[in-house]
Amino acid sequence: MRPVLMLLALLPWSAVVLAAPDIDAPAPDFVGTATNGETVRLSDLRGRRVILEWTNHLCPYVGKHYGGGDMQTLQRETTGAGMAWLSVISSAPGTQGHVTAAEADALTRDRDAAPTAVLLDPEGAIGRLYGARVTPHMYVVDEAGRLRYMGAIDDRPTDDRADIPGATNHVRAALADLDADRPVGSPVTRAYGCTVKYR
Amino acid sequence: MRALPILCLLLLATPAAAAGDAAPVSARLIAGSATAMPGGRVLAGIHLITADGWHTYWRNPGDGGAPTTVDWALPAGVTAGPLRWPSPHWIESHGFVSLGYEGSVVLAATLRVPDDWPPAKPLDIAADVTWVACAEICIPGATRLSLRLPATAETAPLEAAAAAWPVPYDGVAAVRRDGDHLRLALDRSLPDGTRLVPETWGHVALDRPQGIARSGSGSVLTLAAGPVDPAGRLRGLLLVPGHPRAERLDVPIPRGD
Repeated sequence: MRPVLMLLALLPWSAVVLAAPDIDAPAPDFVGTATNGETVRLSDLRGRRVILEWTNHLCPYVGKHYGGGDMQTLQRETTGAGMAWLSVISSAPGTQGHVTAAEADALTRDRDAAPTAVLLDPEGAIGRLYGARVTPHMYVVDEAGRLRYMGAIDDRPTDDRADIPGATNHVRAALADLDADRPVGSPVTRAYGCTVKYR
Repeated sequence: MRALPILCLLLLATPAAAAGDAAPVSARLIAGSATAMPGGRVLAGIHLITADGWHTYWRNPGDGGAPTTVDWALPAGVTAGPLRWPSPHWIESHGFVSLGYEGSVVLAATLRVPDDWPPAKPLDIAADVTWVACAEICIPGATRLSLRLPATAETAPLEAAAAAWPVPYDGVAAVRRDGDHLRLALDRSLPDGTRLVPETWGHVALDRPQGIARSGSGSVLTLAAGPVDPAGRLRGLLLVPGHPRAERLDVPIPRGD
């Protein structure tokens, strides 16, 4: 893939660089560091669907989806079907949601979460590459490495857990569209939540 | 680690005015008239009193947050008109653009009292209100507000809100696509810093600069298209520096330019 990250790394981060990637175009490649110290390269996951989830455990909107186990259920559904789920933490050091690798692993354990990996992105490079604005902000990449969905987790932009049962989960809907080999019905939605705490 | 969610639960469970110093917003229900007359109208307002440094959101909240919601609970026969939102502020922070209100705001609606309302009967109005207040972090809040008329009329905050209600753009506007941009031509000379606030998220990329250029006696505002197709119409509010009232635009976008 193009050396996009290297290019972005040269840009001053004080400037606003939050270009959203294009739907149906190749998802921007990145190399991230997982909590176990291993590197995860998106293009190495070609052949599998990949779900990217921006997260910040102190954000009430993230709490809405973890508090009742809904995000964890979606993680198990997707990873159980062979997909890769990457949770990305782009909170800068000293900001809400920033965690060490050990703290991130403890959160996964305590919340009984089931991501394939949690990527630590304290410089915000991956977040900016994807234009991740809020937590949770969700992306679906298909087996061919194309970006097929970006936006909200569901269609109820509230912090109330009681709204989840009646909501349409946009990630599930996008995956169902991909299963049926049809265009994703709502490929871009407004993600709702707390803004990502970039440096 | 769990302090914030717990705080939110407290906010959800407690009347906003009693939530204490931690609450960045307190909410109250006010009325513009002291009494309800048969067949009359009462301007009612949700007054969100917001602490310094915090903001709440417009109906298109921009890149973060969520709109304030108002769900009226009114006696049978009493109806509420649409919510009137004062012109929103363009709030930039950490590279994100929020659309909302820095400081206090009044969201108002006209209540219509039926003709057969008994003249001496008290009018009980109530509203379920939710909001999100953000500074460095975001704290959602929710409460049920109620008010019984007759009550003290509070005209000043409602009049201040009404002075910032948007008005229609009084002129000619046209828009055309130009690659990844929309070029909005307006028949007025507009100053630098003029912005279009889109009615719907995704139609305009908020984190890209909006450039104004003079064109004859008019102006052209260049907007970066957002990730969502506006489906043939550009709807939004024109915010002109120094003008408290935004101007409403609803302009068709010609196809195949």
